[in-house]
Amino acid sequence: MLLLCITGLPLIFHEEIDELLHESVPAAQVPAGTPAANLDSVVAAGMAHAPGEFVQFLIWDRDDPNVVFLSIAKAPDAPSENNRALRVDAHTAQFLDAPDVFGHLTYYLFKLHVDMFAGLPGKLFLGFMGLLFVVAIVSGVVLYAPSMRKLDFGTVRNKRSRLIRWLDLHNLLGAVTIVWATVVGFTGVINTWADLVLKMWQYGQLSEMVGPFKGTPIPQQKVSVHQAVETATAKLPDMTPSFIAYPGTAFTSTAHYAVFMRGNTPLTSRLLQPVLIDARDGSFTDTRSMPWYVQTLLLSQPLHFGDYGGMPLKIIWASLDVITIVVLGSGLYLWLARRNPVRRTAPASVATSAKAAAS
Amino acid sequence: MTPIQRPAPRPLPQIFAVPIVLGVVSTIGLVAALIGDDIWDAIGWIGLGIPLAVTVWCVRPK
Repeated sequence: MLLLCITGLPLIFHEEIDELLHESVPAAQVPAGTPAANLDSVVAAGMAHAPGEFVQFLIWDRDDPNVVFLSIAKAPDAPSENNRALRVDAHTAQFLDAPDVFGHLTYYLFKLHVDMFAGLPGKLFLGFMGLLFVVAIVSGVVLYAPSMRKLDFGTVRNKRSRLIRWLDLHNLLGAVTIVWATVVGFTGVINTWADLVLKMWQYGQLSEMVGPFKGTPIPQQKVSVHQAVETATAKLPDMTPSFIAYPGTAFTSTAHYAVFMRGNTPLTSRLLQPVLIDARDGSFTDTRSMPWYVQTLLLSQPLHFGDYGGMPLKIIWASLDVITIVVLGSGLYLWLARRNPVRRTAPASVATSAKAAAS
Repeated sequence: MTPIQRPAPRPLPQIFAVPIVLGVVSTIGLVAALIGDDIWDAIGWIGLGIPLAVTVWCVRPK
């Protein structure tokens, strides 16, 4: 848990860190309302710098509306974990750069935080740790009552032994961060299930939507992606395209572009709805709202990342994370102190609550 | 042990009153920033900022 809290801390600011450490070519600053370039020219401009490779995903940059990402791989249906990214200007269709994401500090922190470089087993292991964290929080609540029976909220007995001071701090800091820590802990656990959620969706809703197209070979000649997006936008005029999955990737069939649309309010912009467009002739196939288990995952992401309320929220997130690190550290200290009772200065309740804190 | 007068043990509602209020305020903050922008974000900052302020108040040097 300490590893997760410590690697998570800089990740709250990953955009700012990347910006600071790595040069990137800025997109042209255009006045509001400037029409976007034709997506086919955007793709062509990017792929001119990646001969022999294939676009798997086209992603509109959430944080910079002037930039479109192309996620490219050696084959249309290759696994996407090691995809390279190309940045293209959304308005001028000029190629910007190909950031070396895998060389970024934040990438190493991210991998340590998400799966400790151990793939799905690593992820699920950390998810299990997250569940234990939630259990530890509950045990902390149970033990809070006996140790606070004779104290006002927030009392820190500075004049007593170090053990008692840390017990009081542990109780205070744990009490103020409890809701935040539970929410961030549990949404983190949900995030570790993302791969499984994607599989469930593939075998469930996606395969129903694809229906008779199942097993169709990936078309050699694909219809214009610009046209596919226009068809999708016409179907869902109140939504905005978020990203496009190309035929053969995990997010669609072998025969379809899946244009993932998002809502326009702060809340619904986190939710996605795929529109399947036949990649051979550009005709509309199907669109459905995502099932509840995908929506839950999508909504749990901002609650884990803290990226939904501007810089002040990020700073609050970081402060609460630091406090949680202190709670974990003091819990460990109290537990160790209990295991080596050289000087029995603490009342019995210290011992029991310290044990739970460390678990 | 000094023979100071011992206050009576507190009932559970009293022990958990402040933590519960802080928990509710945090929850409002977490959700508000998700619902909207601008004013909602500000409610989010205040909601999650209050527990931080309380912490600073309690550990202030006396």
